Amino acid sequence: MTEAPRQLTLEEWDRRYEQLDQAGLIQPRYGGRLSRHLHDGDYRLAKLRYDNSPAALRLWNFLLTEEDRLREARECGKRVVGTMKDLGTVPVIAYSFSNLVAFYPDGAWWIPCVMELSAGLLEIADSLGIDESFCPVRAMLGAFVTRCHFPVPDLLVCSAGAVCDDFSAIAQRLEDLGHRILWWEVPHRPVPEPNEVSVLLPGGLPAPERQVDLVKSELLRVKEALEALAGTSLDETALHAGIKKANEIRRCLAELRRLVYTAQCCPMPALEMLIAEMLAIHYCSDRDECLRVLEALLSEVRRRIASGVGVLGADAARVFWVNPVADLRAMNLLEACGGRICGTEYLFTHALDAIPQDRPPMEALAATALADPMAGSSRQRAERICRDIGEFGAEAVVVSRIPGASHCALEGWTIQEVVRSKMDIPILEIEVPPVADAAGPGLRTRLEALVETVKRRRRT
Amino acid sequence: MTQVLYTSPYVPAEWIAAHGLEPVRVTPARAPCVGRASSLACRAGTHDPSTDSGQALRTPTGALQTYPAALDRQGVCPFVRNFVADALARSGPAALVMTTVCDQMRRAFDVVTGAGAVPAFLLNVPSTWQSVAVRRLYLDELDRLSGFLVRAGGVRPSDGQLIDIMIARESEPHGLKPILPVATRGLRTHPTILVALVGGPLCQEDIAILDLVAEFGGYVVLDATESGAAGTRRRFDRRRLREEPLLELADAYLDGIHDVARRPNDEFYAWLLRELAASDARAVIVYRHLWCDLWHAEVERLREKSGLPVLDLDTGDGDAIGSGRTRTRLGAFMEMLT
Repeated sequence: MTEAPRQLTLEEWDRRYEQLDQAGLIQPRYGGRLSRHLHDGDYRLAKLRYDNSPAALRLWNFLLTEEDRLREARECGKRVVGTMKDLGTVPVIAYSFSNLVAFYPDGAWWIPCVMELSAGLLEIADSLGIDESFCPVRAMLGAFVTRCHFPVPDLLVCSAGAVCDDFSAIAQRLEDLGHRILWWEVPHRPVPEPNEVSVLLPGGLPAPERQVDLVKSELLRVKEALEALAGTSLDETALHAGIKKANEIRRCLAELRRLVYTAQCCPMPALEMLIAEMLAIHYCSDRDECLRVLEALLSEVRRRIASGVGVLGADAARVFWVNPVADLRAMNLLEACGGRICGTEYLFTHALDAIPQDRPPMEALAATALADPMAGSSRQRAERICRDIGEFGAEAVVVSRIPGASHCALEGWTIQEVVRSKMDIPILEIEVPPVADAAGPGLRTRLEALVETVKRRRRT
Repeated sequence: MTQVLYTSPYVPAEWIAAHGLEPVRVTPARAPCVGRASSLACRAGTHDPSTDSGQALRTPTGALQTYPAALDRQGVCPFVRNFVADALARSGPAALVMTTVCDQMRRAFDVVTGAGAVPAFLLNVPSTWQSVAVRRLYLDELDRLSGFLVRAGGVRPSDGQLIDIMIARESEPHGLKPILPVATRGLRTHPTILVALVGGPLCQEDIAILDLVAEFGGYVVLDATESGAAGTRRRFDRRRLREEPLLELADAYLDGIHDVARRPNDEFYAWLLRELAASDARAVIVYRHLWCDLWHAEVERLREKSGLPVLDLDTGDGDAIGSGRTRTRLGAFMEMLT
């Protein structure tokens, strides 16, 4: 049952759901009304606005049923791997085993938002000495303590080195609570010396070859631990197949991003795109279904573009967004202010770029891990942002500071400095807490000012 | 001699000296008030009134030095800010060596190089320590540092030259002493409450905490800060030093420094608990800089692991040691111990 693209409240989605259901909508087994997740305590859902397509419904239901999937996987005899911080690389190895599932406990950083602080996770973190001066990822500690939001993993793996101090410190606190962690090193990625042998990483950045070798040896330690957990060895063929599958997802997402961010009229809202991008990190615990969810979104976007329709006005200010937001509602807010997303850098571009398939698999994965924007200089990250701004035709940039994050104060400044020097577009820096209602009026005013600036510049 | 400035204990002074350069470990002075680059310049008596934008410092030789305004932003670690400001305000440093040990210092390197004020090098220090490959990383970094030092005017040393420098520096009376003379400060009165000072690096003025502790009837019996025993390399193995000097140098630093930033950091606690037991300290003062997540996250763990009363003393730019807030907190803590 086709309806013109628009954004709906949760209540409106229920009515739309009735219509779709009566019209014979075929859903996956995790399907159903979105409002049912309110009963799980996901109160923020009542305050968000959603795309009205069945593809978006499927995306949301896929996201909000991950916990069930992880528990089912364990009940079926699969082993659960909690992979932390590297954002996208270790899951490629884990999903190459038939009896492992991997997820990011880091994702708990959205629980305070989605449950509107009702889960008490931040209070637990407080009690463990990790207060609000840390990034909202501290909610992960509370989730491990309550055991209510994901099954406690059979193996925990965490990258260390060139990562944010908040996460590293919180993970160390977690280990002290009795959750043993396999730490592996991702070193800072320097610019290669003039006489140094270097390799090109996914995304186009160079790195010293010796560093790729180091990360490869570290990933081999991780692979051995996964083999021990799975009770089977992982050969190159299986790993190649895992990389190939990961690249199918990455290619699908790349096409989705290209179409949505360059379309004249925005065919898919910012919030759904944020979630779609997140899927690339660990497939929301079901790799095959992840691809199907993304393909459905892609089909919907293609259909809308072909029909020349979208969810926002054609004059929406084209904004490039830097860093993920702790409150999902901020993405709705940008659109309510007259903006749209045309390009993103949510700290995991290395999970979006294709993994090289012409190199030995562990080497390819090492190169991918080293391409993490957090591993290199802020200047390199900013240059990638500039490149993507050009590709997607963004007219403004929002740098969204993560509250308490150790890297944001100086990194945000460098990003702004580089973007200003290379691109003649306005930049706005904001900070979004996990539940930004109190900050809402201020955020709205600042985003409106940015949109107005963009539109005034168009006229001149 | 050309100076190479640094503050992290992981930067091997012997390696810099062996290149014919002068290693200077900076213990920065605190800014007198929050933020403002101009106030940093005023502190050093180097404020140039013609640059009231607060973007420049005039060095003692009269040269204008760019001060990265980014360091005045909210959320920047005061120690990082003070170190960069202090280093840039000095006359004629050939180079600055920073490390990747903490996120803030790593990002400050981007800011320093972006400003182009002084040639700077970022030494990659591994967080983990379990694998040979990771230890190799530090060794490779010393090699990369050598290239940088040569570009800064140094000369790559022979093994023999490095050995001579290592032996000479170990023989110096203060070769392995902490950079602040903690054990020599403070009045040890009777009855005395022995406390341990634990935490990150100290600024020059921070030494006043010893006097403040003494004022409340205590004595700092153990300095386990990064500026103290925790950040001191082990003694060189004389035999190995002659066979493989660079390897021995690297190991002395990697194995000797007890670092809370290591992952996992069990070894730090094993060392600290040994030192606490040996020192007879009855309480611990964690002295940390605002926005330092690495130390902040350890306070509760330290309380649990040591079983001792722990005071979490965080300081920003505006919190001088003698300030009301610090004095009151410390006073209450010491009173509780008596």
